Amino acid sequence: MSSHQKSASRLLKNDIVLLAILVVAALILFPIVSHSKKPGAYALVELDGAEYATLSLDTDTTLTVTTDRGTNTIVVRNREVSVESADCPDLICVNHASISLTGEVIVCLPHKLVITIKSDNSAKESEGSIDAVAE
Amino acid sequence: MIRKNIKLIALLALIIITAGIALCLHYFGAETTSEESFYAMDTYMSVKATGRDSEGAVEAVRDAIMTLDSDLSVTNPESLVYRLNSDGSCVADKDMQYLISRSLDVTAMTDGAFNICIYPIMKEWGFTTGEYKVPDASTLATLCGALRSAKVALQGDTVTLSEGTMIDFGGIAKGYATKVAVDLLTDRKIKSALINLGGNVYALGKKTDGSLWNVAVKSPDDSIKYLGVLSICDKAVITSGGYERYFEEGGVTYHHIIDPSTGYPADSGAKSVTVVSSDPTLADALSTAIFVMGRDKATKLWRENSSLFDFIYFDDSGNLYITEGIKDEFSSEISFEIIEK
Repeated sequence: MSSHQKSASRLLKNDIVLLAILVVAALILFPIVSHSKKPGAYALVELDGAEYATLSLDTDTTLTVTTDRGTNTIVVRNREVSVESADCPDLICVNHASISLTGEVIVCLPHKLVITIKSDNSAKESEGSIDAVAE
Repeated sequence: MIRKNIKLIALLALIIITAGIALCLHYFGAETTSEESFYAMDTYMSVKATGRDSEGAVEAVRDAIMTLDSDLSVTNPESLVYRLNSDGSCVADKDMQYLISRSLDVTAMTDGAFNICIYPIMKEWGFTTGEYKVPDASTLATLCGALRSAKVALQGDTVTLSEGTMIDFGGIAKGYATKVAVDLLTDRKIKSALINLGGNVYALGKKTDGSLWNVAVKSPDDSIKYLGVLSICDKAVITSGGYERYFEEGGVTYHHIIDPSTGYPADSGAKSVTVVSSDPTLADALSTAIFVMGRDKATKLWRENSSLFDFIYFDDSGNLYITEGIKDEFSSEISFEIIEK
């Protein structure tokens, strides 16, 4: 009986030690892992308020978004994002200057498409970057 | 058997403690940041707030603005504004009373450069529907004559319009919606938020790291990206520019900021006007008014009311002016002149 208790308490102690190690490891690793997921700035593409895609600014890409409302072709080139072509009536999105700084936005109202430059690096975000554009 | 039990109990206890801590953090502890984006008032809006119940707060803002949008719509037959325009009078709710009294104040303050009774002229140009056309001169002359004698009376909670008068809060609604948002967030103890209603920006408090918000002012042409950046807190930044909505006919560009005295797009020399003020309703109405008035009249207006607002003025020839009150907050890669008191 007593030997049982002894080994049980030892096991419990070991369990706690192991758990403590795991918790500490998780606490240390979490910021590193979550940080390395999206390095630097990226473009968040939203359709009607819901996330549709994220595009890294590090890679040149073309994304064509087609919905019932219409089509927009988004281009990432030299770390800048622009709408190359669209079939919306006002073409405000196509005429919008390309965006690259955190907080910049291109909106295609008729297609309910929004492209926002985001940054996962919050320290970098607060350093003289732009939070909003008055227009 | 006992060993098994102890292990099981320990595991359960751990799970309960972890879940308890997580729940406590969620409900009472750490502040969270929430962002809500939505479409209202013909534009894209986003509200980002940090605080205890930031999610509830931004949702409340969204709901309030959505309601305001349908209440202030000139085309929705259910709205109070629609009823006022068709019947010539109505019993105003709190929102409408505030909007009317503030609109009348700004009309008086700007010598009619801002006027909510301009709606029939805007309609004639097609700026309310998107079916643009250049009205003929005689129609505009008649409408301008009617506008000069248009009267809006607010007695108690009853609004009465003079014969043939119709109103539209389009030039002030987003500013008022911003005020509603700020009040809601403040009531819910939110100390840091960024409200962006289609380019009408309000920075509430400071950023979570204690630094000021950086609000850039869009450049109306392609030569530069921004006219400059304002580092601010607890201020609205609202820009009016002819580039926002316009159409071309016969090689001429017609923009949507109509001068109430002529019935034609304002031609005061302004290309972009930004008003900075702690009062978003005033900032919205004044950005339109200053675009119509031009720099000289705007300077005079500012000298008489410099405690209420500041402005940034970019003219047709590419000159940039700012008023003295924001000289420490404003920075730009192009040179600018400071308008002094």
